[in-house]
Amino acid sequence: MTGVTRSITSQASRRTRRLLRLGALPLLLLFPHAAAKACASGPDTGPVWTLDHRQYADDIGLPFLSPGNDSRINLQFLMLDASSRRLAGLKPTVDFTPASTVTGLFDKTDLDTACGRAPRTPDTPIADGEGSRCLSLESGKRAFLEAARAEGAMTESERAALIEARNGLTSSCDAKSATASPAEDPLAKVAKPSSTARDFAAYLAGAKAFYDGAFDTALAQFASLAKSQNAWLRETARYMSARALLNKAQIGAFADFDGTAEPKISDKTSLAEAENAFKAYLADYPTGRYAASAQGLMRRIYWLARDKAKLGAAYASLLPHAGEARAASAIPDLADEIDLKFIGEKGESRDPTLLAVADLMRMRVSGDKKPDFPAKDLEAQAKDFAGREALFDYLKAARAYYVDGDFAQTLKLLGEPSPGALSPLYLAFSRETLRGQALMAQGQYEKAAEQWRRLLPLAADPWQKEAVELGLAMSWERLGTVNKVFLPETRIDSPRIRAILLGNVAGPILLRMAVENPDSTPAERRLARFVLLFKQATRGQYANFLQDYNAEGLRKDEAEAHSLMDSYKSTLLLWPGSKTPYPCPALHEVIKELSANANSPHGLLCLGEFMRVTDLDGFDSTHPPAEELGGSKSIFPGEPFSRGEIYKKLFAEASTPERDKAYALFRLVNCYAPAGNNTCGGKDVDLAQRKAWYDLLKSRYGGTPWAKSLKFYW
Amino acid sequence: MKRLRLLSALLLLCAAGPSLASESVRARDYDAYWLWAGVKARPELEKAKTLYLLQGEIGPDRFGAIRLKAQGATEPGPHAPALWLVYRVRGLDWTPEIFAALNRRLARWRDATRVAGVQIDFDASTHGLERYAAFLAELRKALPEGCGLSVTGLMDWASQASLEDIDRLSGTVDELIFQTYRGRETVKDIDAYLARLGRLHVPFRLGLAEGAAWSAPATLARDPHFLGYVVFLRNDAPTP
Repeated sequence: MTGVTRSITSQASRRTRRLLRLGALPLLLLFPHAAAKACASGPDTGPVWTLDHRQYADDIGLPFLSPGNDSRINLQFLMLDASSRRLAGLKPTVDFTPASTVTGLFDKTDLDTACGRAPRTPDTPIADGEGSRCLSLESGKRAFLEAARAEGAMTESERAALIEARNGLTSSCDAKSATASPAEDPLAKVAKPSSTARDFAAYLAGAKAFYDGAFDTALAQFASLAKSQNAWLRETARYMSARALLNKAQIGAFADFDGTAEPKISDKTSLAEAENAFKAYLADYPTGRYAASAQGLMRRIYWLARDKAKLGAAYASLLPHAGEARAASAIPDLADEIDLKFIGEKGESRDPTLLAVADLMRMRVSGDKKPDFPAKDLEAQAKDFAGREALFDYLKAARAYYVDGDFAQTLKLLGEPSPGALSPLYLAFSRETLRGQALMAQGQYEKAAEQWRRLLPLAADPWQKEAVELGLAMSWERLGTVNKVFLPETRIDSPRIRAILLGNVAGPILLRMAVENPDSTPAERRLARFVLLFKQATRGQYANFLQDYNAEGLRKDEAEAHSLMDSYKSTLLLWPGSKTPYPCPALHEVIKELSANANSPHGLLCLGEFMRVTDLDGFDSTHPPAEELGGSKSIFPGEPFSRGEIYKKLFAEASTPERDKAYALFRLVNCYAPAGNNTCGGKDVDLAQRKAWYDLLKSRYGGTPWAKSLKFYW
Repeated sequence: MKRLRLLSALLLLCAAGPSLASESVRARDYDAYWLWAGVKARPELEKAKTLYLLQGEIGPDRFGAIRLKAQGATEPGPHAPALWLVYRVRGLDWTPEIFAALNRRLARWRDATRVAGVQIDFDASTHGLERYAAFLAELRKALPEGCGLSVTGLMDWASQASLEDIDRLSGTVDELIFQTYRGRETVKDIDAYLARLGRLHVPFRLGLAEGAAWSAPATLARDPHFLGYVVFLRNDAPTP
């Protein structure tokens, strides 16, 4: 079988995705870039553990205005500011638990929850993102029953008949009766029903027709209730008439094959009538039962009519008050709606909040495309921001930073920090993080660290605090003082930041300190011990390994700390050795052998066997990109271990025993199984070289069991 | 912010240059298409013989619960092409509610037009094929009579899975569609993959990316199991 190439990226990503399913996400913190790729649905979301999200980062959020944030995240921060609200109920991550599965600082759904949306339960009968007139079937039933019970001008038998009829109402909304069916008169068995009871019956007939999709019938029934003596019926029929008109107008609007949700309305008359009907309802019932719904449906009418001006105006009037709305989830709901129905289409609003969100999107890097957003384009919006100068000034500084890369100008535009508490909170915090970012981008890490330390006590919630700590840790890391992250007087609280640095940057001293520090969380100690011993074993620090090796500690780590290293168990380092295909003693013995002779072919091959059998080849093979936390050069001496390079070296050296040469060759060929991808690390070789190895193994070492067992090369 | 979500194999836009000196795929030369979220309406669609229409995504949320997220903007209604209702799937531990929701949607479409069946787009790893086959058998049982079952397949299967593993699907699925592309381009060494496909006993189609380079191997037309092509439509495919 000759190789058919497959992308390593795709394989690596599948691997990370597999890890995600196993709930091993915290491990991915060690390889944040890979994790971001695996989590995101888009092509590439860029580096995650940095304050610079220049590309769209999907659901991974930064707790301040940022071009990489999903528009819904930026919108929610601006809405919170408008109503002087702040996020409630956020808890700091104190240690890794199986539930702490967020890759970046926070996930968009966590923001939705913190802004008041109840977490979704899996038993919702309607799929996420699905909506239709049927949604009100149940709430409508409850309201009807309540109204019928409250109406005094009906006999008990009338009431009973109507309640029974509403309870038994079926429509094409139900799964069981897929088609419309004729209405039966619920009062058929009542002798001489009262006019009120007849009104309720008419309403029921209208409701059934509405849910069946027979909108003209529904309209006729609802119209007959305009003068009903029952107030609930009068109001509800008005509202339902308008809904019936809207649904009638919508017929066929989504009939075409179209992957975009662009409505095509042909019945413009009904749409205009629906708009008038909702307006009239709202005029008569400004604080009515259905006022909020009617306002929402008015916006739907503007959207269906593609009237961006009216739609934008409606959002502009809602945005400042979303935080005070009756519905707890008003902020995330409005953010979702604006994103789905308004942002990104031609003809933007002049509302400063909506403009700001669109402007931030224009500062994004998209693939290889740099943002195209000249200063004069933003300057042209100056009058739109009258009264919102602070937001406009921030946008100008952000544009200089993200679009021009002019960091001095960014700082100049930001001016001096205002003393005291941050206000309005999210905008002011955005301004101060940008100041720190600009100082870092200029390489002024001392000044940046000062800025972060000044900002730390002002952070209002755990997300903001972790963002500031991220800036601080990155500044120290780049100053060569990463130890401050771990020292008692300057210790960074975020266990995630500490873990990334322990995994990628820390040298033996910091790792040993984290193992011994009683303040380390169990998961952190477990990580530190594993990384320390693993790197000592694979980077030639054999004597130190023997000194730090603690079998009891490894067993204890495994038992006491969960989740941080789900897929890489601490007890892997207790590897007992193997009999076949190449006999090796336990890892501890292998290191002893190497400690006596660092070039021992048997020792090196056995170290390779340990890596191969425990599937640890990938553990130390990726490093965060330079612009991310943990992206500076590792302090740990030595280079990452590559089985591939060890095999090549052993095979090339004259002093290697023939049998060991044969095994090295056998493993080299196998490095590319089963799909032609190198899984041993080191430099890749081409197919011709793999064939040459295979031929050599088969000819020169044909008598070895390894040569006999090998049927292919890849 | 919305973005175009592509078939699973497209997720990672890996470097893979055009492999063959050949013509690029033009939608109008074919009669079966995938219509994905974000792809605009165009005249070829109503004229198609077969259309694969994205309906939703099924997968675990952050807390591990499997959820169905509706996608696709077309409401059930009468149409000329035979329809396959496509679900992008990221997890196989479906609850009864998911099966029910899928069947509810299917029933609405079947009331309105001719539905060929349901297609599952799942990035099953080569090692996971056995589990996948068991899932598909379960799904098949849950689907109503007369409803076909189609699955997308990765080219990797052709190179790495044993032919027996793939053939095992033959009792369960009506067709397999192998995606010949990664990113926007046809995968390298496509001929080597196709040569292996020739040994399969499952009816299959080939999925082509609009605008990608493609030249059909002569042997394909003679393969009794080859059902034809499906073109993955793009908004910005270069016009040849």
